[in-house]
Amino acid sequence: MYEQFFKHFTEKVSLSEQEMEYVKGLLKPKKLRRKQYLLQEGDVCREIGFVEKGALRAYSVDEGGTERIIQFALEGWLIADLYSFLTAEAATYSIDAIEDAELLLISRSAHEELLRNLPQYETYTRLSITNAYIAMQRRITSIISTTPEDRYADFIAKYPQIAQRVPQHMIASYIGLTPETLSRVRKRMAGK
Amino acid sequence: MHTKQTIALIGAAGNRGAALARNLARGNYRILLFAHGCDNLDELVQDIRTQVATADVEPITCSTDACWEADIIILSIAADGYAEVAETIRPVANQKVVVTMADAGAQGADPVALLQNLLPHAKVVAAFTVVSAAQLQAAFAGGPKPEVQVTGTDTDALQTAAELVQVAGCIPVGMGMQAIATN
Repeated sequence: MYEQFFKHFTEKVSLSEQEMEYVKGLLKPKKLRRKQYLLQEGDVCREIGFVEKGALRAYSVDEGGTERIIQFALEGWLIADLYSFLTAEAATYSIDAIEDAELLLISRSAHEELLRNLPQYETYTRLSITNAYIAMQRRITSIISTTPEDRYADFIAKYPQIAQRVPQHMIASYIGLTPETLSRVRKRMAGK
Repeated sequence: MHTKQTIALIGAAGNRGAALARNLARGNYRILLFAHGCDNLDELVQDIRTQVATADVEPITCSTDACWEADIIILSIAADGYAEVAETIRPVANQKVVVTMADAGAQGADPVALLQNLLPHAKVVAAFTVVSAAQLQAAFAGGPKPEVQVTGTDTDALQTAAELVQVAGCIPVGMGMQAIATN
């Protein structure tokens, strides 16, 4: 239930048995079935989700009803509407499960308690956010300065696991293409 | 709140548990019904679905899975069964709101303290402790709303329990409930 969490945690910082037990007591284990929401737009995001098993996505829906996926999360990843989590304002993203999932949820109060009492958690959080920031910079660069072919190739190279597990229309949404454009891109690439 | 919360109702075969499940089915909840050694929950589920068209309710055969999926756990069983249930749900109850419906007077010991001791990382709260199945049924049918005492120490748990009480057609009373009810 905590395997992935402590694997990722202890890759960054070390924890004693006693500290692990303390952390476990502050995490909420939660199973989500496919298509169920962790968060719906308009609600306050009260928890950060760590994915032990399964796949989730965070997305917004535009006025025309089109879903824009901003993040996928597989095993070992964190997912939340961070702005809503930190400010307690309404979330602008929805988060749901693409596959049946097992999560560990960290509430705002648990997050603050861990930041106060466990220096390793602060380090873990800082490194996680730094990595996410770098990934986001690269994602923006990819979207604003490369061709659809390059964007798709980048995605496949960077996230081969996601490409295998997630439907094509979601990948199209994530890299900012329509499903039709992605289909043409894939055909062109296959023909090369 | 738009995001549907999942409730695990342990002890759903009893009169009070079944009545509460029916009342809560009107709310924005997904309800998983569990009863130890009981296989006739399908009938209850069908009955709830007939009476509440929008009900999202299903029977589940494993209490651990029910509570793992749940955001809120409701125990509609006698307090002397808590130790046994706690063994199966302890790992998945951490940080969750756990509602005890056991009556303190009948058991001699405070069920909240007993349960909190068994589930040290859960947020235990008491509600629906003395409300009867008949009162819940009357409230469901639009009759008088019974007052339901909500007690506990965790603010989140009190808030969650007060919402459950209101959705169930009752009036939450107790420390701080007035503030919550008018929110």
